[in-house]
Amino acid sequence: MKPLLFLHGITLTFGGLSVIDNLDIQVRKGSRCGLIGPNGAGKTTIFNLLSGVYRATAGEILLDDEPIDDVPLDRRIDLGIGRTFQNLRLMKHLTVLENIMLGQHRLVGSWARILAPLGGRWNRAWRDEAMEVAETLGLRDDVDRLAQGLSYGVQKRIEIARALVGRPRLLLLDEPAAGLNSSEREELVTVLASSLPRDTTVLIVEHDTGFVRTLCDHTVALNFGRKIAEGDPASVCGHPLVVEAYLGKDEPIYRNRPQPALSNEAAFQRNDNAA
Amino acid sequence: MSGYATQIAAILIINVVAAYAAYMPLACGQLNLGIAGFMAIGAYTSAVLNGHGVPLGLSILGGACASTIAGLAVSIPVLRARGIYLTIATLAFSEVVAAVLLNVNALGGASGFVVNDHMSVAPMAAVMVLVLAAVVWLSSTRFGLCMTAVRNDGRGTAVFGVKVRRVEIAALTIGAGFAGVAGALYAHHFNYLEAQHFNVLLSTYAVLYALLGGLQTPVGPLIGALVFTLVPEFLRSTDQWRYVGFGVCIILLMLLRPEGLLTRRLIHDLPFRRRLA
Ligand SMILES: Nc1ncnc2c1ncn2[C@@H]1O[C@H](COP(=O)(O)OP(=O)(O)O)[C@@H](O)[C@H]1O
Ligand SMILES: [Mg+2]
Repeated sequence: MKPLLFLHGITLTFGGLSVIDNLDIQVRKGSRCGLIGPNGAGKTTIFNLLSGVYRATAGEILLDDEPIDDVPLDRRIDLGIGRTFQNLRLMKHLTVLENIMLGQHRLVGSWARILAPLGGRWNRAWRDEAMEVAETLGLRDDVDRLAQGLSYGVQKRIEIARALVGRPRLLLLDEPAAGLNSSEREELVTVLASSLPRDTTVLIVEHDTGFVRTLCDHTVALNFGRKIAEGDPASVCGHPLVVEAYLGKDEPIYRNRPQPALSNEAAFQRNDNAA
Repeated sequence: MSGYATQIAAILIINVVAAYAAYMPLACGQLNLGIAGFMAIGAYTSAVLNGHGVPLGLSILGGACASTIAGLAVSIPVLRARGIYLTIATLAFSEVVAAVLLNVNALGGASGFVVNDHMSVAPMAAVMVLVLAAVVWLSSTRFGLCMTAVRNDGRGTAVFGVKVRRVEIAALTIGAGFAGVAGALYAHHFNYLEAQHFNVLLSTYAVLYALLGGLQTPVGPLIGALVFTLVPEFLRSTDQWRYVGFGVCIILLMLLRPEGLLTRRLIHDLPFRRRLA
């Protein structure tokens, strides 16, 4: 089957230092593709390339055979590329529902709709849809609360909900389970397995092999911006180069990586540096 | 109402409208220190139109249109600059407007300009309510959502397909329109214009009202303008100490409520809201 996403010879250098090095990745339509690799391997950078935050130094990115390199940041989402952020990027002065509804922005279109009250009749269908997604992600009781100060796990799920309501063709999840405890993690796998639309192609960055094995049908492993292994999740996670890459970083792949729960403020600051 | 009370009420109304002029760009993270310039454009346009026989209501509308157009013309090039540079550019714009007005003899130059029709407090209050309603409505829409998102996350909001620059330009332009309304109200209540009145202090106060009231809700600037117009009046009896008292109030507020008097969390935590929930 032809790939929905095709990264062809992608290289990205920052001040002479190459972060992504001549990378080829193909992702089948409808696939759930895992992207693993130790910290600093370049996983988030790939997401930033796909969502238009960075531009590749060399190579080409094709989405459904169309090159997208020249499409600016605020139009990438029009192509159907939705994403979440590793370091959380919620609007602290908006409620959970409002944050989620922001994800619908690309679908709303006309100025008349943009100038209709969110609580009114014109927005009922949008509101209902956002509520539905919120409910599947277990956010029902939180919809009217301000995003500021909610627990890390809740914030992570809001990010996913916000990406989902944009009905993406290609969904990029950056460490959706990082910082969650094991029960939250299991719950998230179940929710994602059942709620991700069939025809949505998903690229998932995760360190938790259990997560990757359950959810993904294909996995790519990176180290130092290069592909070191590719194939079915089980064999990639056990691949000697992959194990070595994680061991070299002193971060056993099989252990859940501890992630300090960032305060909202810190998360926003880190994001400002990142993007 | 006594003459004094009328005067305070008129100033209060003008301050509230000016606070909303500052609020619109602030709500998406842009500091416009040229409010006075836009007020001057609204004031003088309305005064001139009125002087040529245009009815009062239409003159004010004309003033608002002029400052809106000026806002659009300024924001398109100026919003390429960000943060502090934007602020400096709007400040410079305001100074240019004041300098031009001071030197155009047809507008009275340094000796001032007499305005024909008088506007009393009641219709002024009606205009203020219209402005307030417009802001409340805008805040309740997806446009309001985008403004808050841009304030919280800056250009990062583009990831969600929000056309950040368009939102910023729209907010600054609408704010400039409000400033024009505030200026026109001033012109027709006091019936006399002096270019020197539209100085940076006027802009600073407008920004202060919006910030101290709080940017998180559309009601914040109203509260801010109300409190910080009336407090100095209550302190009037203390004479020369009133500015010290006023300054202390501002510093205390910044310490105790850095996000402004009225926040969404405060509204959420109101006792009757909780009982309803
Ligand atoms: N804007 C940038 N400027 C310089 N270096 C960067 C930039 N963004 C990412 N990097 C570097 O690229 C490498 C990969 O980062 P990243 O993609 O975030 O890793 P991860 O695989 O953990 O998500 C890191 O060494 C990081 O320091
Ligand atoms: Mg990362």
